[in-house]
Amino acid sequence: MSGVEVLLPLEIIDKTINQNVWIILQSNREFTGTLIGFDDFVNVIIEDAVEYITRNNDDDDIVMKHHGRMLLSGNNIAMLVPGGKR
Amino acid sequence: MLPLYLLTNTKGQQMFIELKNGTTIQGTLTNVDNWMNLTLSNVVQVDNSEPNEDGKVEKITLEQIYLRGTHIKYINLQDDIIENVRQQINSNNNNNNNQNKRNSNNRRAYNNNNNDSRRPYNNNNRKPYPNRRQYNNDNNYNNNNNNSNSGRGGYVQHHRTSENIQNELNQTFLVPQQQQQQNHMQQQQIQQQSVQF
Amino acid sequence: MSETVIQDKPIEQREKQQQPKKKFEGPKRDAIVDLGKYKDTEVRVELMGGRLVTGILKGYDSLMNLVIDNAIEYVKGLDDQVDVGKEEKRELGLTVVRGTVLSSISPVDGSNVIYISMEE
Repeated sequence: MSGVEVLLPLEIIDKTINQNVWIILQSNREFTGTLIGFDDFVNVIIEDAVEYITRNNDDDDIVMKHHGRMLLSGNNIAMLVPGGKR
Repeated sequence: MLPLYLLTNTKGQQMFIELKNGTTIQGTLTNVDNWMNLTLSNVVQVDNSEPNEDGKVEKITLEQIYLRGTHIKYINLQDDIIENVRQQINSNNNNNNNQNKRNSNNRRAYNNNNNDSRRPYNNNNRKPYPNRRQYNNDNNYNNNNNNSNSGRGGYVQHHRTSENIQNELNQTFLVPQQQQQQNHMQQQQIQQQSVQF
Repeated sequence: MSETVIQDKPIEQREKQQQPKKKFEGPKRDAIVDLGKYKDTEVRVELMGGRLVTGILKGYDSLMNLVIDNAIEYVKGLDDQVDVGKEEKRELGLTVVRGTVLSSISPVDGSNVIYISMEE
């Protein structure tokens, strides 16, 4: 057995607070920004968010740069990647 | 016959599932839960049943899979499944009866401990979803916690007659697990059989 | 007095244990899959909306939120896009997958892709 401890997903998200995060929705839309906070539903507050629409072949198109803080509903969030977009 | 009950008692059977996104999955059912989440083994998954340019269809074989119930469009079961499960219920019913005869004294004593003088139907406890989320009004009678203030929404007991409940039991083919009186039980079983055959 | 009680109980329990061989059971409330057995192995996760992610399962919780390391997302046929046919993949690294959008999860170990020719 390797490692008794299990990484808790919400703990990982908690550790990325005040760092960059890459948030991928169920649709082809993505956000990056600084994670300010989140709740149990993983509604998320991010700061200075950049919103992308991804396409299969092209490079990602930047749709919008948001200033200040943004509340992103957890409803459509599929994945969160600590550290921001690669 | 409640769908989840049917499904729960078809463990070990082959089935064919289509998901909402059109993916089809074939495999042996290993487990089901309350939300129709499934686990299957020896799975063949087909994401796209359209043949490619070579006239071939891509299939993925998996040893196991867990499926979200909310993502299921439909499940194809084997043809004779309903009959099989019904027989299973019957045999179980008989087992229960025997057991009840043996333990009738204990049962009665146990039942009297419940504060069910107000709630005479509690002993018809058929427990499809014991003490859990209530799926319809019928099931409210099965709540054994007996706390009227449990915040689950009100019961409307006084609309019920024992006859009503008898009928409902018969219609759903479900087996009451506790019986207050043996006579009552036998009579009921006769009625169930007459419906089933 | 107490003797009878002590004797009675085991008998009853024995009967109960014998009985449920072919018990007619209802659906379960608790977890039907133990993600612990997939921990530190490669899993294949499909999400609602059409995303497919593979990677090493590092963690999970009871809501089936997942921590996946070295995650690779295969971008193919998102619901609102034309299926390009050619699969593209991108590496996400350490990723948290929301349990709410999980459609299916299966171990990669022991899985195969096969091609069947259709004759109709």
